[in-house]
Formats: sequence, C-alpha cells, structure tokens
Amino acid sequence: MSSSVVMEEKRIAQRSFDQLYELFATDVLRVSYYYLGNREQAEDVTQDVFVRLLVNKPELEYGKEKAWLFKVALNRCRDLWRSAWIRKTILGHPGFESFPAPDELKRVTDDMDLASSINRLKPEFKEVILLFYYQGFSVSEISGILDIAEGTVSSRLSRAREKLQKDCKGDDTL
Amino acid sequence: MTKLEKLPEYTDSVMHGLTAGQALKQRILETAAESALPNKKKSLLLNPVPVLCSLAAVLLIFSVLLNGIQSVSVSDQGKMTVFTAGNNQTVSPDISLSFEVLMNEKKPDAVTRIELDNGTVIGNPSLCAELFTILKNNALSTDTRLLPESNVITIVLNDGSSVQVEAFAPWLTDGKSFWTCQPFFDKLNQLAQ
Repeated sequence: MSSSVVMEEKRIAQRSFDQLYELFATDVLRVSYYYLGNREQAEDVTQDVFVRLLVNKPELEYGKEKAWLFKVALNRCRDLWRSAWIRKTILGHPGFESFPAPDELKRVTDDMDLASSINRLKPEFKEVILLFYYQGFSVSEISGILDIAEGTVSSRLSRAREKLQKDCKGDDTL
Repeated sequence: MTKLEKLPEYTDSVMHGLTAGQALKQRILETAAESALPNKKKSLLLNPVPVLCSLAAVLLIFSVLLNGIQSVSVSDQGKMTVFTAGNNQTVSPDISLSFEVLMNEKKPDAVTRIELDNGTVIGNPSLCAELFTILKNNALSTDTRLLPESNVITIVLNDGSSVQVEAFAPWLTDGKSFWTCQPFFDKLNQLAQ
C-alpha cells in the first residue's frame, strides 16, 4: 500500500472522528456527568468512548454512531458506578454542580433541581430518562442501546417520572 | 410542555460550561496514539500479585525441601511470578495454565466452556471458539488490573485446565480507565438480541 493511500485513509478516519467528536462529545460528557455526578470521571468516560472509537475503528452505519457512542458510554458509566471506589466517592456526595453561563445564574436554580433529581435516580431510571428526554432517542432505540425490551423501557420511563415527581415534591409540571 | 420535555434546554442552562473542548480532544488523540504503539508495555493481571507471590513462595519452599534443589532463581515474567529451581520450573499452582500459554498455544477449539462471573456459562463449542478468538485478539490490547468487582472470565479447556482473565476493568487510581475485552461483551450482547 502506498504511503499516499495510507495518508488518505488516515485523513478520512481523522475527519470522521472530528465530525463525531464535534457532534456528540459534549452530549456524551453531559450524560456521563448526569450519571456519575463527577466531572473528572465524566471526562474519563468521554475519553474512553472516543479512544475506543479511534483504536477499535468499529464499522458504524451512518446515523447509528450516536447510539453506539451512548451504548459504550453508559456501559462505562455503569461499570464505574458499580465499582466500590465510585460508590464510596460519589454516593451521598452532594457535589452535583452546575456549569451555567454567567448571565443565567438566577434562572439556573430551578433547572438545577431537576438536574440534581435526575442525578439522584437509580442508574436504570437515569439512563432511560437521559436517553429519552435529553438525547431524544425513541423507546425502540433505547431498547437497542440498553439491551432491554421496549416494554421495560416504557415501564422504567414511567417509574422514573413518578420518582422524579416525588423527589421534586409533587411538581406536576414534570 | 413539561419540564422533562425541556430537559435539553435545562441541561444547556445548568451545564453550559461543561463542554468537550479541544483539550479533551487532544487527550483522546494522544491516548489513542499511545494505545496504537506496538511496543507499548502490556500487562495482564491474572490474579492479585500478593496472593500469587505468597502461593509461589510456599510452593518454592516445598519444592526445595522435597527435591533438594540447590540453585534457585526467581524471575518475574509478566504478572506471573515464576520460580526456577535448577531445571525445574513451577508456576504458581492456583492457575493451572498461564494466559500467555493459553493465547499462544491453545487453539479456539480447545475451549470447552466459558464462564462469566455473573453466572453465565457458554458451552456451545462453536460459540466458545468464536468468543475465545475475540478474547485472543483483544485481551492484550490494553493495560488491566484486577479489581474486586471486575468481570472475570473463566476459560475451561478440554484437558481440564482453566484460566481466569479479567475482561472489563476500570482502574481509577490514576484517573484513567482501560478496556480489555469489550468486543467480547459486544458479541455477547449481539447474541442476546
């Protein structure tokens, strides 16, 4: 294989990575942060996801990349969450913080309540809420990402909403 | 519109300053480049080192006492501590087969059973062979350490021997995480669908 072909292949791979990073890295980071409540760990998860994209070069169908990225990210989040180290460090820790734009500090308070409530949900509920409401995946797509039945997704969504309402002291605008 | 339906908007407001920027991107590119280096030191921990060392030390003492071997040297081959006494070489006995031997010498069809630590047992010969090949192709690709709650895969061979490998282990003390055999689990997930 000539060096120009190799360089061209690398260029294409790099462009693909650049596009995916541009499109989805912040979303992956924020979902991971919702999940773990720890910025460093969320960045590590994001790093792991995209390193894996570069190193393993999975053959991703156009339009399915986002689902793949979130599948890997949530697997990593789940694994980190399960580990004793994370449990000790994060559970019960009120460190879920906001990163608002400077002019939005006041308005953020209400929004922060919802974000913190989501962060406090159990992982199985948090995942479906974030994928459905934040990332706009359909129930069917979530079923594929999480490897669970569509009925289970719907039921978790419903239970998650109930828990959020309870956590937000009966806020019926949820 | 409910608050939840406005979650993207809310998230933008509370996490405006949390974005994946160029610094993280650079870190990703550097880490990926390091992973691709052919001579990067790779280690695979089969069992906690202290346990291995203790067991091997006990074995060595027995070996010396029983066989009267005169010259003894100790070397560390990867994460397996191997005690060499004269011409006799003994590997810590709680692992009947080293991972290197498994990967280098055993063929996929030698695998009769694969067990996961969640209780899943895979006994289908062709599936075992396929999963073993995936493990073989990926297991040594990254650094791994054993954690108490990590996923451990037990590979059982047709000669009765077995080896445990760690399949998916985050290592957090240095702030990094590593994959070993995610493709293995991807395949399992694909089969489960």
